Amino acid sequence: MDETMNCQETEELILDALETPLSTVEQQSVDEHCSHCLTCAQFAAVQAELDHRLGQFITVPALATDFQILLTARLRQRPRAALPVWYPDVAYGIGALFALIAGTIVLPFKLDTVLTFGIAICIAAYLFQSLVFVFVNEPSDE
Amino acid sequence: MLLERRSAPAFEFLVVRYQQKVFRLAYSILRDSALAEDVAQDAFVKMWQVLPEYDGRASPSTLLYTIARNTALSALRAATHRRTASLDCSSEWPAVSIDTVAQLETEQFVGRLPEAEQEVVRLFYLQDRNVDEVAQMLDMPIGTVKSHLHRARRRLAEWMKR
Repeated sequence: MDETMNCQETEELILDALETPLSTVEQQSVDEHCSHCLTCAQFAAVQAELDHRLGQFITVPALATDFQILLTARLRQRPRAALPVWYPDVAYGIGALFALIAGTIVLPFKLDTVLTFGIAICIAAYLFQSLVFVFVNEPSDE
Repeated sequence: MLLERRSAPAFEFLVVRYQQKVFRLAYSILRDSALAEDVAQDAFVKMWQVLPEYDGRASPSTLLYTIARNTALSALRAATHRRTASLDCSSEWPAVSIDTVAQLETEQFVGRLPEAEQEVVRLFYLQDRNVDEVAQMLDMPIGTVKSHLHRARRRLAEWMKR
């Protein structure tokens, strides 16, 4: 028996050999050990049979030939959401600005008063809708 | 090219190059070809969607495999939830008539392995015994893939002997 290899090491090499080919020296060591050790020889035989079975039965079905065509169609159907997340805030800001300008022109109050109340209402409304958004909008899985 | 902008030709190249691998990864988890194909489609669609935020730190294949794996696991959870019976009982294996008993026995044994070992074993054989590829697909060190394989082989051999 190869003095440098015990059964545990031989078994590991037998298993390694099923994934990547062993070097000539390693293979010779395994062969030498197995020629004297029935347990390891049986282990090698069982592993070879198991490997054969797994290779035979674990196979993958063919991917549909129209996979790429279907994928392209799906990508065309589902254009990415075009608006960045900050767009609604900008839109809100622009709307609020127009409302303030219109308020200063239309409302029969002093300019300072309209601007002060207008800005206060806009800020309050923004904070309120943000708060509602945080509590109502559920986080997505993705 | 992928990183600079969402380039359709670059993405098409990615699809051509990785469609089989992504499908196999999904199949190794789901064991249902139709579902695996849907998941592979979903994975590519998600990849396309996240490309604008892709910072190039991980390789595109790593990102794609991560998306595919997570999508397949979600699909598996959903499928398991929908069915009362385990997927193992109805899992789809290609029809091999050489030795039906041996096939059923092998299926049963592989199905009894811990999830991580099952996944590695299936992917190893689906990927033409390429450990490096399996490690990349599962985002695992090669040593971990090998130790899963070795443990699985030892277990399977024990069960086969009984």
